Amino acid sequence: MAEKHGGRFQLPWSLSAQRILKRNPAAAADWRDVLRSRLIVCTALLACWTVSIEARLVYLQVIQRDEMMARANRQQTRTVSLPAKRGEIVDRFGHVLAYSVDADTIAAEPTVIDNPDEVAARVCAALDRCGAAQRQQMAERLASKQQFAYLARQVSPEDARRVKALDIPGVLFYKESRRYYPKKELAAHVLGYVGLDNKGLAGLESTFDSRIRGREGKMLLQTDARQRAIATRDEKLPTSGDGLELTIDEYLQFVADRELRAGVAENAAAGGTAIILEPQSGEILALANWPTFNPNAFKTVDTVALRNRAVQDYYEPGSTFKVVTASAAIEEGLIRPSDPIDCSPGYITFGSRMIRDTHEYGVLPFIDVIAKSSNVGAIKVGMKVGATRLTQYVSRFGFGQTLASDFRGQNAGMVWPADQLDPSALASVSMGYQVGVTPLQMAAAVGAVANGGELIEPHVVRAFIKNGGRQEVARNVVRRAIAPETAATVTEIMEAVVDHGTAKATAQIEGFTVAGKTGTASKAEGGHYSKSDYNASFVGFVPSRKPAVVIVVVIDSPHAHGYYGAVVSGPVFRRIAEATLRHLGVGPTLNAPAPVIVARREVPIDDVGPQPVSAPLPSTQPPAVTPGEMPDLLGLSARDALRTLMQVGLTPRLDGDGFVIDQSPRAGALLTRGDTCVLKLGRRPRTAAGGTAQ
Amino acid sequence: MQREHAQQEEINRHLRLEIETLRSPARLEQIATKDLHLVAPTRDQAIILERVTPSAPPEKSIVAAR
Repeated sequence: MAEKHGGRFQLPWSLSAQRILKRNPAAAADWRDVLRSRLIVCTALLACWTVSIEARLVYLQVIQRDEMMARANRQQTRTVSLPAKRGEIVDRFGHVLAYSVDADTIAAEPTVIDNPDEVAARVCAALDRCGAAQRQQMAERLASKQQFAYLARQVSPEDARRVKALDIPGVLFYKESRRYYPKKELAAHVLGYVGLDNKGLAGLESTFDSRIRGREGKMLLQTDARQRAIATRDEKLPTSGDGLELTIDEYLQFVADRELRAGVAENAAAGGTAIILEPQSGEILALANWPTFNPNAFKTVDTVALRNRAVQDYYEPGSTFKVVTASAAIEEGLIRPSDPIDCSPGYITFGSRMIRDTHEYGVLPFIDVIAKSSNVGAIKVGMKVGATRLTQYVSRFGFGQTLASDFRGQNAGMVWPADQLDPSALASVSMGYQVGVTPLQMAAAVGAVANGGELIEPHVVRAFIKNGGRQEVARNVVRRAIAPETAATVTEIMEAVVDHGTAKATAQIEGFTVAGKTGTASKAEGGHYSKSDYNASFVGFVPSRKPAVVIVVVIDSPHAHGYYGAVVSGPVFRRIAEATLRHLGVGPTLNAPAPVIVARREVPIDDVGPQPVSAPLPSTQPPAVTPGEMPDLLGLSARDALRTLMQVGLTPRLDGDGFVIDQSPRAGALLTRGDTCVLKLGRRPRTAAGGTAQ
Repeated sequence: MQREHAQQEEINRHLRLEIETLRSPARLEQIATKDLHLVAPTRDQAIILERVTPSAPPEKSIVAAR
């Protein structure tokens, strides 16, 4: 038996068991039963435990696999969104007008913070501009026991540094893209502004938001138990938004802003608009409004200043609209500039309504009806044209339509249908009342006269910059408004306005022929025309025969030196035009000086022998500089000469202006650094032979 | 390395923004007129070198109208 058991179990204790069996065989049989039953129980328990563990593992790893994997991912990884940079906005020469950089944002985990009031007070004290209201708001957010709360968004690097130095547990820092407008108020209404969430809210930032904004990227970080990043698992890089290249010229925009502001201040006016437009292309070089605002701090600005008056507000144009009446009459062959019109007795009546001229003009040729801005004369011409045809021309010039797709929230203006124009209303329209236009529509219409009759969509975006490529925006001709011959005749009439008409004293520019038209319109308030508030405007283009720019100036409610367009807006027009012509390099059209013929510098200047025309060209490259030797500066412009002298380390002294005609020391003289050099400048570059260029 | 590159790029962007802010025409004019006492040129002082040269010039000369 013992042998049998020993053989079956082969236990290590079988030897001692055999010894016991030898002593007491009955007890040995009991012990074996007990052991067997206990072993069976143990084995069963062990089996159950193993099976249950296996079952749990199968449940977790097979049945619940997807859910568990997802949970692991959630716990081990953190997704960080990578904000896209908004595309930059530049002017026509690449000067930056709107730009995005990373700014620090301060946030917190309220659950980690024990004393919200104290933390709020410390953070607030470290920030540059933080009032009691902001501190209170911070404390409330920190007390909310949410997972995450913003404390201060898009703060300056200094602010962020000071708060970081406090080293408060639970306060977080991260970067957010922030929009900056480095030129501040410059072209503010064109550019618009961007909200905290990087969304364009006004201007071009809003119109082209989807293009400028770009696409947000994502980064998946693998983290440890303390949520610290240990590796990047997956990354989708953000795509930067498209850049915009504008038609705006930064300098001209500045000039328009400056002169408009001065004009508004001089005339104690409520506001105003100035637009500079290139008539051939429809490109807007400058668009200024007053009051204006700083888009970096648009939240603190009164809503009146946020309005882009140039496209959002319409006004009754008054006499400037006579350009449309005249164009219609001439295009329809109803009148010629020399045809006489009887403007006596200085007024005209429609029922009980009487419309007056400022003076009694008697009989005037049509050209002078417009030049002297006779209402009676314009009304008589308007009557000849008739309501149907005049309304057609009003539409052909783009009034009553939203023309410029670059601007959101444009006002179409107000144009009455022909069948609602009774004689009195037709008279009003003929002289620019009972019709509402925006300054930009007026600029486009006068642009059509300036460019020979084509109405061109005024636009402010010149090109989109995408991935380094440039997608140019094409010039869009809306329609032909009038024939080129009509445009030429209307130009002559508008020249007369500035030459001997209403704008004679205020809008003439020495050396240039100017075409323009003044306008003064009483503002409609509460169903009546105001006796004190007027819109004073001037529209014009220069040089009139080959226009470089169309300029529109509208001043709202001037109260200082009269209210006439010629007196109020004419000088603003002139100042803007003078600076613009100088900046664009447009030479005088009246008594222009003869061109100077100068030779290309193909032979060395010190060559002996006859040289028919040998003046050094002002634009030639500065001479090569030998250290310690005086360079030859003759014929250079003062600027180039100074640049060259800087290179050799000389102190220049200038005498006169123009180009270098004499220099001391002479070319080739040996120099010591710091020597003084005297340059004599003259208007005409001297030839090598000693004569002057023609 | 990548992080450093990104940081340098961001510093570059901040510097560019600073340059553009300093280049503002309003600031330049203020310096020119208030600090350096410069004035805008009058018509006689400004010479315009026309950008467009009319018809083809003779072989050895060009037209620099002013």
